[in-house]
Amino acid sequence: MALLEVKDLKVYYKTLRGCVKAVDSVSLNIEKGRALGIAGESGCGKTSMAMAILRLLPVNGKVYGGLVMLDGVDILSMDDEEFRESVRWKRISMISQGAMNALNPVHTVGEQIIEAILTHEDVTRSEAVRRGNDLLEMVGIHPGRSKDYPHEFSGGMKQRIVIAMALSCNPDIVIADEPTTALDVMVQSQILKAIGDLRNALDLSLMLITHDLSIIAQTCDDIAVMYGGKIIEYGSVVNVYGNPKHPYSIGLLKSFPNIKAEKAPIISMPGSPPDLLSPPAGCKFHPRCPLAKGICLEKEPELAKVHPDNHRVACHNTDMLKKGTDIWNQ
Amino acid sequence: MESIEIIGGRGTIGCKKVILEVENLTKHFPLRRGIKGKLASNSTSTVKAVDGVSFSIMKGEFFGVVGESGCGKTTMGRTILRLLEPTKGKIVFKNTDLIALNTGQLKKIRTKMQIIYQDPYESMNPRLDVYRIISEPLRVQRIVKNLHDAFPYIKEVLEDVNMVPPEKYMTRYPYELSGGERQRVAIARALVLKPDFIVADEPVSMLDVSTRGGILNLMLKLSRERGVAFLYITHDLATARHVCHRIAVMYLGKIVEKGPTDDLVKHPLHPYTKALIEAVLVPDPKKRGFGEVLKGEIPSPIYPPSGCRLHPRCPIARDICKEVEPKLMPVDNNRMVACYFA
Amino acid sequence: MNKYQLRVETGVMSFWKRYKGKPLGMIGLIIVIIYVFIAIFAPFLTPYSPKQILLADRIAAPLWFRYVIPKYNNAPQTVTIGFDSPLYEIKDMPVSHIIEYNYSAPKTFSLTFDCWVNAPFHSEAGFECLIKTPEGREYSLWGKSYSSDSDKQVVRIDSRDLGLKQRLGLTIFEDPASKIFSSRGDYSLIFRPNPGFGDTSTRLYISNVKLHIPGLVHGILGTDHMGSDLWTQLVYGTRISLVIGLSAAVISVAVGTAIGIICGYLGGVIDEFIMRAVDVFLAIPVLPILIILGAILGKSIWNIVILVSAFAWMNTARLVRSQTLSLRERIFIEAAKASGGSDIYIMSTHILPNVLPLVFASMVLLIPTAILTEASLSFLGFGDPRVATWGRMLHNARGFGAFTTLAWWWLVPPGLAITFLSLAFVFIGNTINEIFNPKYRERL
Repeated sequence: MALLEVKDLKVYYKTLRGCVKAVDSVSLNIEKGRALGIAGESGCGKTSMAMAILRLLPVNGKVYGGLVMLDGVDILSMDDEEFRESVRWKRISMISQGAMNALNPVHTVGEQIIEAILTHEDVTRSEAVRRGNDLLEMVGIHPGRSKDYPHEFSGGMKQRIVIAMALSCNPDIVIADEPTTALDVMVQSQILKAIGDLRNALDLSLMLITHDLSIIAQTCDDIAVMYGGKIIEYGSVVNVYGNPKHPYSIGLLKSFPNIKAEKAPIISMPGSPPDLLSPPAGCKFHPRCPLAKGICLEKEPELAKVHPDNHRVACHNTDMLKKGTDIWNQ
Repeated sequence: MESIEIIGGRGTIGCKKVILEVENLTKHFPLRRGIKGKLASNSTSTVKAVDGVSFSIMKGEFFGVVGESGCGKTTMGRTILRLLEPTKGKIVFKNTDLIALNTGQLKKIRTKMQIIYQDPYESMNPRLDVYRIISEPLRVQRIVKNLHDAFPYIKEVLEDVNMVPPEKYMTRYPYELSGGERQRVAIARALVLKPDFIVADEPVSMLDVSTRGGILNLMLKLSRERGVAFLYITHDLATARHVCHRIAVMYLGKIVEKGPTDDLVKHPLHPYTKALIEAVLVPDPKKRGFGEVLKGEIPSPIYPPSGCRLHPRCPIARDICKEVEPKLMPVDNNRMVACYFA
Repeated sequence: MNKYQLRVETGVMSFWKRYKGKPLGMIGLIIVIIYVFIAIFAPFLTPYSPKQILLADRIAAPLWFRYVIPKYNNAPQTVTIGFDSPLYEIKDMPVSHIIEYNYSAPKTFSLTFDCWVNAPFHSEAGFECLIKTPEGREYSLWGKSYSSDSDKQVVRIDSRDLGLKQRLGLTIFEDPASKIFSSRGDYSLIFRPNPGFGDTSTRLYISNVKLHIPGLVHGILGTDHMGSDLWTQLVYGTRISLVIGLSAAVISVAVGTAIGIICGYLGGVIDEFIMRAVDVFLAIPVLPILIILGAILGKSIWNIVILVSAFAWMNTARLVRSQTLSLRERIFIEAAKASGGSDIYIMSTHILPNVLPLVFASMVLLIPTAILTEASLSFLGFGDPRVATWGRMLHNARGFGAFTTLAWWWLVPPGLAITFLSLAFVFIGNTINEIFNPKYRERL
């Protein structure tokens, strides 16, 4: 049984201009100790999904259906009190993009980590202090610096502190939403390395949300590519990167220049991501898809298995793709 | 007139005319202080954003400036266009010394040099529609008398940036456009005066990945077909490698390495360039591993390290690096590097 | 270019669409529209002019009190009899005019007429003027004999005149008006020649006869201490308040915006200097300074407008400056500079339109400040004495005992008028802020 199982999750936002189906029937699994990367462009619903799992959706957003099972227990039907007590932070914690700027500037970082431990767990203060120091050491910050204030740290160090806080209650799963987007490449590399090391050491499960396919390639075991609120391709990173089946995934991979390989042209997909207030009928990708045909305009494709290794794709044209033609050749 | 053989990513361009020459460009920002600090002005400390940078760009060349945030690359781009006043140095654009120009002359020469910004939403007045945004340079430069006369120019330039039919987009407001479309409008605005040189400051970093390629390819096409020279400022070596003929790597206000793109990416000489390339992640799960990156982060440009600015982080630093700053020296084949041990 | 105008219109429309949804804003707007209506149609809303006096007795109560408050059931309304009788020959005498009087006794009355005599020599011509009550009692108000031709004489008889009381044989504490007009019915005003005087060739000229019995109830809101109509003052006061409020707000906001943009955009020494001046201006207590300057410059509406504006631009200037400071750093400003746009071009084309919503709201919010400042000045007696303003009404009310006699119909209407108008503008201003400037949303 998977550690975290999301089934048919639907998250809709009520806005002045109508209903936005930000997450539309998304299903995924994370096994113990595995890392799942959620890839997608802005507005594809990847952050909304994470927020729904942690019940941190803004007021106008609501879960309209689906299941989120943690170790076989449905955490969506829990009441808020129970969820806060037993799930959030204790079992599932989060590292978000802006978190490093959310550190309280008037408390020392050590104090903030200890506070997080004491809020969620029934331990003595000295125990919490000891664990706080261990955590800082684990993320590569000298415990002696726990007496320093956030402004005395650089961006990368602050992000490390945020990671330490996310780990403070020994969670089973960490959801990392664009954890390195605001950071420079070298710092990004350091942080991702730290996350990877921690994952091995603590046997953590990770859900890593990013628009950057190279981050997922470097850190995750599985990948789910989202587009317009749906998962359009799902599988192990080796399968998806090596043999992408969905035109969008293929295009996305070709949009990323690889500095360490021979130079290949960067492709660009026409158009832009769909407006979820009035999404196109049928397959949401059809207005940009070079393979779009009659059925794509009418029927939304199911996420179907195309490979015994649980590689699944939501496309009507997977047969055509098998021939290995370069569909984005411009 | 200087001539340089450019061996770029897209092959030999050949002998071309220098369009822009920057020499020892320096921009220091005085730190803001109270009245007391202003009175005792002789002891002001400054942010050394750009500190003695020299390079030249050929007609139709794509010149990349790569560096991490805070290295001064954006400030440099703006100073070259005299949107910021340089502290010292020389900027020669089309045989004209930009620093010597007065306001009127500067306004005139601005028709030949333009800029594209990182955030296409921020760079447009949200209260104006596409037509007005693009026609602004024409009106400011009195190329057209009124809004109405600008129509043929705008139609043409919108077609140039693949926004067809142009009439459909003219009346849109920036918030009604997607990120890629906004950036196309920004490029159209830069292009409408038919400039010879464009500073592109991180033009794709705010865009969705699937639309980046389109913008990059559009700029490439412009440089190839119209001979527009680009100063491409970015933190992303991977895209820089894709579009640029030559690349200069900046660290703390200085150029540490400069050379033809493929050469520089495949055989980086400076330890900083090496680390920067190592740090770029590869979208390939079969080639995993985080390369050796430099320890620590960029120091403050107010108090840059003595000697070579990289020495506190450099894996091969020796005593001399702490004391004497290495000069940017030619190595071979148009390459230059500022390191004693490269 | 029609397409562009269309877009602008839709901008206005979308603003209106959002404005419509705000109840407070709509209430404010409706109130202001009512005021504007009153100001425009003032001449149609009242038959009097605000400068007309003696329309009724001083501090008369509203007319409708007669129907509401028993005490005022029979309270007199103003009765005025006037005729231009050019001349009488003695043989026509006595001349009498019937006056219908159906109220309880008035407090005062007055009679004026011109008379002169064209008499042959050595004759004794003369006449007296008297009022005959319905019961038949006669009160002689005036009399005169002539021994020769006389020049035209203007006769004024006032019931409060001590001479009249003496003539009627009353003590100084008795009141001729209430004595004479004590009952209801038809009174007669009679001009009668002296008895035993019969030379018919004598000519007596009497003209411009006017008997005025000022009422104790009058109009919608009664009268002030001069017998001037309070409703009329209130209605015309709306004009003054709106004019002062709007013009002072427009002037001060225009000045403040210009200064704010220039300071914010150009910065440097000019900015430093003007901002210190703003600090100085802000530190000056406004009302005392306005009183002093008003005294020096003279009491006129336009002086007040200029003075109020001179002390109201600073907040706008600061607001606009801070907005400009942040706009100046926006990239589209630099983009305009990169296209070759001059400072003036950037300030007028890019910065001004972007601060306008803020300025617009602050202008609407300045109107009540200006109205209240003018009202305060007028209330303290430093307003323009020639025009009726709400502040002046309150000033008079205080000065002539409306507070002590609890003449609320004099006190309350101008107070409420100021309150509602100010409140209406505050509602509108806050609503505009709420729509244009999302930061303010939390405050409401």
